[in-house]
Amino acid sequence: MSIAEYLKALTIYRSMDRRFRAKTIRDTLQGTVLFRDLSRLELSLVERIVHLRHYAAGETVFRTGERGLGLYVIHEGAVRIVLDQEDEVREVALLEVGDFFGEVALVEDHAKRSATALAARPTQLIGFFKPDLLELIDRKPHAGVKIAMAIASVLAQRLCAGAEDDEQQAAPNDKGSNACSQATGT
Amino acid sequence: MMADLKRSRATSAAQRQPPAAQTRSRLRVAALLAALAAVGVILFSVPGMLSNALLAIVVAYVLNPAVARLERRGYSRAVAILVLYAVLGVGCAVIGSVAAPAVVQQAMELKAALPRLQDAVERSIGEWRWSIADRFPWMADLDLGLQSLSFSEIAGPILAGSFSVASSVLLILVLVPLTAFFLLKDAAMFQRSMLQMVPNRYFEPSLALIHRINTQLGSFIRAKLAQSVVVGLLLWIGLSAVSIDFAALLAAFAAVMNLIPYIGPLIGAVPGILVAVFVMDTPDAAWFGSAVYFVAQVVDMVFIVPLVVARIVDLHPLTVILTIIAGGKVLGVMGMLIALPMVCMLKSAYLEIDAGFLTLRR
Repeated sequence: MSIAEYLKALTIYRSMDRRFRAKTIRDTLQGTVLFRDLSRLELSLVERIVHLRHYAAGETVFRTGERGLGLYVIHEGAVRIVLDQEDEVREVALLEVGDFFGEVALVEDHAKRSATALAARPTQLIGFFKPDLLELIDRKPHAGVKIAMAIASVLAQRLCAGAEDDEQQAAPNDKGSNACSQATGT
Repeated sequence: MMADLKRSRATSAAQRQPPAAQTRSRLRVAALLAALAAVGVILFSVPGMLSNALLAIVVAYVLNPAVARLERRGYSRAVAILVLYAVLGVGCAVIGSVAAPAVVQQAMELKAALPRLQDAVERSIGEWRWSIADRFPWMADLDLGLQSLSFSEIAGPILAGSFSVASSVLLILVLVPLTAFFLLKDAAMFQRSMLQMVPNRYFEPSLALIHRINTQLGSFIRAKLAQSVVVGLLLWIGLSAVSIDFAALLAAFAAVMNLIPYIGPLIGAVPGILVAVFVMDTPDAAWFGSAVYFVAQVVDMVFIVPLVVARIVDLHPLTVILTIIAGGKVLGVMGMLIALPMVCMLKSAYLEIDAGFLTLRR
């Protein structure tokens, strides 16, 4: 077998392997925007730090008002996000594999959960918490800063989106305003 | 009305855990309790295991920041620990080769001086007894325990304890670094395995609790050790400067005793003052020796405690004293040493439970 044939066979094997083998924690992490920029070595370190949790269908992940410590990435299954406030209870999102939630708690001290998360079916979640992030920043600052910047970016985008929604509600006919560019510009 | 009903239904549906989750939760709690019980039985039933484990934990906490620093330079954790061990090993060998002859010589001299010290102390106790009986005859009828007080009775158990400690030093020198190595390398993995057994409902508060205890205990141990080292060095320099015999040994003893707040420095000063009074045979030595201990304690209280220890401990002095007395009653000197960190851990646990577990909605 020539080298070219060997490399071609190897490429086919890798593509087949990727397609048919069970999805690993690393695959899920790599698929999210938070961990996408990490190198293979940094990802393997994160893989050793995170917590894999199993939830039965209907089981609560967390409830509104509880103290939060970090975010969850959906590895398998799905999660319903329920807004559970004084005057209303409504489902606001159904999150699928690769989505993440609870990231505010990762950066805010003594953060309270603003919604309830329930497993929609048997679900596996990858938990990444503040102590894990702090440990990563302490031991491998390069990787820790990449994740911290990604979280900051996600939060900034959500802040902008929220501000835009507020502007839309306040002035539905005003097409010219752009809260995001204003927010990011300052 | 309809909104209330809808909300009540949705909330109860959201809060009711499915049977599969409840069963898994109970199994996890049972497994966690069994694992903790097994660890407790092993620690308390195997002789020497508890003290070795405690020492290894102290070593691991002390070395952890240095390991993290090496990891930041790109070493893997195992390699970082090995590099640190190698550096420390060489450092200890160099310091040992320089300091060991002096320490051994001082120990031999102290051994030779012990009978003289014993005679002097017993003679003084006898004189004090007669003097008390002479001045206060009514006290002669009181049994204060002074009648049977002798130096050998006081010092005997301490010396015997010291020799038994010395005999197990070799075992400690092998076991503690080995245990500390695995603690440094795999403690996070052990912790994750334990957390795997915690039910989902209590997982986040448990993680927060462990993190808080970890951080506080690590800071406390490092601060206390730094405090002891500084006080020990000050005493060594001071006692050597005023030419008190056995300065290195006395400073080392006082440094270890300094780990016990409030009472420790007093216990640590006793041998030095005894040596100054009874062995040196010069009136100035006692005053100079006492002054050195006093200055070291002033430096400790004015500079080291407020800057390093107080921020971490944050306990009322009365709580600290009662804690140390209780620890001493239960486990002796070891109890006095570990009582305060235990209470700090309990305080952290209380604060974390108050902030985390109690926000969980039923």
